[in-house]
Amino acid sequence: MVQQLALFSAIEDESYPLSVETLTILSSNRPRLFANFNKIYKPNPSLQIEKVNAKNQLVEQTRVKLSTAVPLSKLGNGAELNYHFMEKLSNDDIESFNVKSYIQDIDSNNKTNWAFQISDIPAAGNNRKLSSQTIHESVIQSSSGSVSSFIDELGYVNDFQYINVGVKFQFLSGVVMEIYKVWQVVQKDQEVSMKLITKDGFMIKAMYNVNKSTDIESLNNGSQLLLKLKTDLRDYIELDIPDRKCMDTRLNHLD
Amino acid sequence: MTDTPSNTDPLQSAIAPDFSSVPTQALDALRMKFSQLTASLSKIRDEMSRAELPQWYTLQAQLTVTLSQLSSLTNTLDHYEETLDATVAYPLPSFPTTAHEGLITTLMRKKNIPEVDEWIKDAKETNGLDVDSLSDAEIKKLINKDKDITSWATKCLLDERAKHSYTGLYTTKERQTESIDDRDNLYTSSVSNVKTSRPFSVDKVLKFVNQGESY
Repeated sequence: MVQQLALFSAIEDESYPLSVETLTILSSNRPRLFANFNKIYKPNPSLQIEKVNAKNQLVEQTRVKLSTAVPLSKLGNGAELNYHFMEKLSNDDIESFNVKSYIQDIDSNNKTNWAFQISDIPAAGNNRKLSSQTIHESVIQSSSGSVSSFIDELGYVNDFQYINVGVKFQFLSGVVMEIYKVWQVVQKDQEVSMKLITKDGFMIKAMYNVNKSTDIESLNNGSQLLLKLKTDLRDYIELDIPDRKCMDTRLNHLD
Repeated sequence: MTDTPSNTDPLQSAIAPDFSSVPTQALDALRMKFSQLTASLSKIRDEMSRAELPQWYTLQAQLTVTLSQLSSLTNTLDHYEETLDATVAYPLPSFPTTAHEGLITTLMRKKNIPEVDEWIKDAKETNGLDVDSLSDAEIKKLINKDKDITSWATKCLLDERAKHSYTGLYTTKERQTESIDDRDNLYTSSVSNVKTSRPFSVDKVLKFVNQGESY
């Protein structure tokens, strides 16, 4: 279990090179390119899970997320990639990336390592300066069949899927910053298509993870670090706390 | 029976207070300086006790203001020294001493409060001078010597600082020996006014990532 403190923002495409430069200096670390493929599952509606006392939220159906790293060699079709790669990605498709063959590939082999994640809605409160969310995550070591049959046995079905590609900055203090783009992956019959969600820009996330939600000292320290970063970047990148409802992974009870 | 002035109770009779000899000008000047100083001192204290420390330059500016207010106060005290020394404060007979004993002892107190005594003692100990055994002239001489050392140290610091270049791309040594044109040295730190803008709503993207709601 991890308690994640986070702040978010967004920048337009043109600001990317300067932002990378700025964060490289601030973090004194080079940007690291990353790409993740995420599959979101929801509880199988045919199981007719009783919505007991749904108003008091006693039975809550939560989505789960499986994610795996897309190998950079696949992403760039063998080419050596660095953070400049992101500068060319403003379309619905990533030119060098064959999403169809990638998905067929991970569906057909069982060697992909998946991280299994369930997260709570971020903590409520009017005076919060940052989002504080409980996240449970673990790596699936092995499953008897494919990962989809495993998740099926747990009683979950496909909801939607997306890919995020971006760069990551590791600060010495423990803060991590990400600049990334998000693509929705739509699978229709045999066709796979991608749709760019973050049009004309990048998402920015600054976060600090604390292993125990009871470790108040580390939480305070993390909050201070993030708020300091917010102050340092103010008037350039305005980091903000998002609406907690947007980070809620629960199914809408009114469905 | 007629009342003679000697029979009247001094506590009951209304004695018209005579303010003519009160050094209002001096007291009012001091009151203003004191209130300025206490205001800025309490501001510093508030800022220091906050969880988030203020920027160092804010603190420094605040401190400079406070120090100049302090020196202005000492100047005023110095200016009115004679008047104030010759002034004696006393309570009027009509003052309700029993009801407000605490107030009058506070107002009339001449002795320093223990805290202040502690500060004075501390200052005397840290200056390294044996105030009791030295004569005034000797102390003055020592203070002057201290001032000389201070100005010598300041001069040294300025000399040393002049030997280095704190802006630009070259050291002072390089600029002198390699005769570099000043225009090549045009790197100055600047405040950037570049600002990013959000091309989409962060909340909507988060909503998609967590709930799959496309827009």
